[in-house]
Amino acid sequence: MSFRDMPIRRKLMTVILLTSGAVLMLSCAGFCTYEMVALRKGMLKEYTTGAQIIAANSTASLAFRNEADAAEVLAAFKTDPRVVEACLYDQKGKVLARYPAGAPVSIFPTHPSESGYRQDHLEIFYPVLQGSRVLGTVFLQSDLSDLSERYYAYAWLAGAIIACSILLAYLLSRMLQKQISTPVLGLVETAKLISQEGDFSVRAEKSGEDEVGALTDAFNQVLARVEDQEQAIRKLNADLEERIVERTAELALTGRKLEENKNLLDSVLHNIKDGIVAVDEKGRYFVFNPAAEKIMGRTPEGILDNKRMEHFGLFRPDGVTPFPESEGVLSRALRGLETHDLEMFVRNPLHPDGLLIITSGRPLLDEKGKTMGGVGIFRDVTEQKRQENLKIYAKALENSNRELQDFIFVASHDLQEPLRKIQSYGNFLLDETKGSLSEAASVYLARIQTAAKRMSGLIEDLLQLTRVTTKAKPFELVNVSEIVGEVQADLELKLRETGGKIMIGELPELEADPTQMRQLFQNLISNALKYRKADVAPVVMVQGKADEGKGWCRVLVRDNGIGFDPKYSEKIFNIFQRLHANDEYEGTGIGLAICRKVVERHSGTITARGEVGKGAEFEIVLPIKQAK
Amino acid sequence: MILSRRHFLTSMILAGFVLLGAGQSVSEEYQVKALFLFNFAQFVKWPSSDFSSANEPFRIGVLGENPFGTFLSETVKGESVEGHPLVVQHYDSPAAVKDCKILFVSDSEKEAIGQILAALKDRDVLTVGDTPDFLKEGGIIRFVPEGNKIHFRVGLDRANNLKFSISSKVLRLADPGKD
Repeated sequence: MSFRDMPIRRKLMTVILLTSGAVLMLSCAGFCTYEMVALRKGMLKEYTTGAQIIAANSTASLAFRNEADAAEVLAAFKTDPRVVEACLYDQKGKVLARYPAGAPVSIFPTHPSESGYRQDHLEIFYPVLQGSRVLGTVFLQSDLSDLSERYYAYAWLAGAIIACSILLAYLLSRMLQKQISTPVLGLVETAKLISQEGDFSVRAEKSGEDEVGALTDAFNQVLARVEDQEQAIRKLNADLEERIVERTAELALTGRKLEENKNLLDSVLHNIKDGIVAVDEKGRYFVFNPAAEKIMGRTPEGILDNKRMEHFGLFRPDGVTPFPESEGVLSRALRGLETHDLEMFVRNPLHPDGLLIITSGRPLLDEKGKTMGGVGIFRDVTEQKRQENLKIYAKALENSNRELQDFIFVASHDLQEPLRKIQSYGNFLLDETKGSLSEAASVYLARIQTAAKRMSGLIEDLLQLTRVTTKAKPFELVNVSEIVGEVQADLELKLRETGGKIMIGELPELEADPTQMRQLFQNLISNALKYRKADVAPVVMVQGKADEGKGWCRVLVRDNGIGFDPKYSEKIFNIFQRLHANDEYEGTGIGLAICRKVVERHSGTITARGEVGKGAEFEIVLPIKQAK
Repeated sequence: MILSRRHFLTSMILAGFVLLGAGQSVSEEYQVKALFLFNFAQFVKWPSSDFSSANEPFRIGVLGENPFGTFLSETVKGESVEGHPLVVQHYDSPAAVKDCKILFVSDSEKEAIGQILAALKDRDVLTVGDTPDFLKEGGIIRFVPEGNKIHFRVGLDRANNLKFSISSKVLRLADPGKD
């Protein structure tokens, strides 16, 4: 654990112990060093004094070269066991006497030198002086056992002092650190409690008026402020949460709207008949709806170098000239240009005959107005174009039809005049030449009369045919039964002539032009009487029924006449279409054409069924109510 | 140390030269005795009143035939005792002996030793001699040869009644024998 992370208790104790330990060590080291130096100095001085005494005592011995006496003087060192060896040098540096007595000369220095500590001993040289005369030198060598004993003693003492002091310091610091650490730890406990429980109403207990006390006060003040602020923050938080909830709801709503918009857009893109495509600024497609694929016959996948015209097979409206790439709607859009209603021709395997499309496009701009892509829309107008063409044809047809009817009307009307003159003057001629004409001339005249009559009937029928459209009246409620009754009355003479009869069944009421209804049944019933079997009295049945549920009514007109070959069942309604020669059955070949025209004007149908020799049947289907 | 050694060497060479030059050979015995005489000058204390002035020479007298040659004068040359320069003085007769502090009575005077010592009895002179009955005759210090060494013997009864004091260190070295 590094010192920084130690609990304050241990920190304090460590500081105290380290400080006191360091001080003790230093002072002990200083004291010991001083003692050592003093000891060495003292020892040097002590032995120098000893040597001095010996020197003083040995002057005479040296002067008189009395070895025995000198040895006796040296023997004084016996009292000090630390003196290992000693000797006296004479004036010439020669050893005169030695201690211990029997020591070999070789152990002594060959000549006197300086006093001082050697490796493991002390050497003292002291001159023997008689007045100022040097008589010789005293030498002594002491071992340092004394010194080392003292060293050990000092070391023990110092060690003991340090150990005791540190123990004392430890015990004291244990007690004293509580003075500082206990209030601090109390603060820490309070702070922990607050951080764990989040309860800012807790207060730290004050222990005294020192800095920790001041800290506790400050801490408590901070706590009070924090408590206030926390309440404020809680309130703010509550407000904020409320706002977040509101905002989330709004966002959810917006998101849902966006989602709906997207779904709507997707749905539109998927279901619209128009092809819609969009590209980014590099020409890569990011919208290509199903309609576009249906028209273009393929997706933009595999498009090379943005060659859209080639890829999709686009031509000018002539269907031959390839469309220039640069004039394409998207190319223009990417250049920032708009295009409106450009016609193009597309040919692909899906549409081998090609389609005519009309296309528009515009650039996609970002908020700064920079072009970031393009969008194009196109529509298949092939059918529309054909419809337009058809309308034009229909209009032209209508015009020519009206012109033709006008012509027929005018022609029929103007033709009546000369025809009536031919008939009148024919009659005059017959009256004038009564009996005077040859038989042949009479026949010729009769034939002229007959032809004129026929032509008159022809013209009358043609006029009636044109009148179906030109002289039309508004529709009204018509009782078919009454109409058929009137027709029966009109044909009374013919019925009597032929011995035929008309059987009228149930017939409906419907909205129709009554004049034209009468024309319709007049033509059908007179045809039935006309094309009768030579030896059979004609019988015509007219009956019909309304189907209110379907809004239609059906009327049948059946006869027992000669019938017709079914292969002519369509042709017989054509104008001037006749199945029989004129001299066999008189007729203009216009009656059934008028019938068909009347039925068509009433938005109905008429069909003919028959067999040769077995009678004919006409079925008319008409709406009960006419569209307004 | 180096200086003193050189000094020592120089004096040895000089001494040798002088000895050779003198053509005289002094026996080793007398060389030692000469040194002893010099030592006595060092270890015996005369009262300063005994000198008339501070720089009065300290005379070592030799009475009779000089057995030291020039060795003694060479030994004391340049030396002094408490400021008094050491000087060797030769006396032919006891009557000539005057103002000397140490007097070596040569062996040549052994016939008249009694007379000589008697004459010097009241004088504060440290008398030194070779003759066997020197102390009995009233002398103070006698050289005693012992083997090849020279010892000296002090006539203690005489020495205790003197104006000058012989250092106890010298007395300690003295031959304890009795004459």
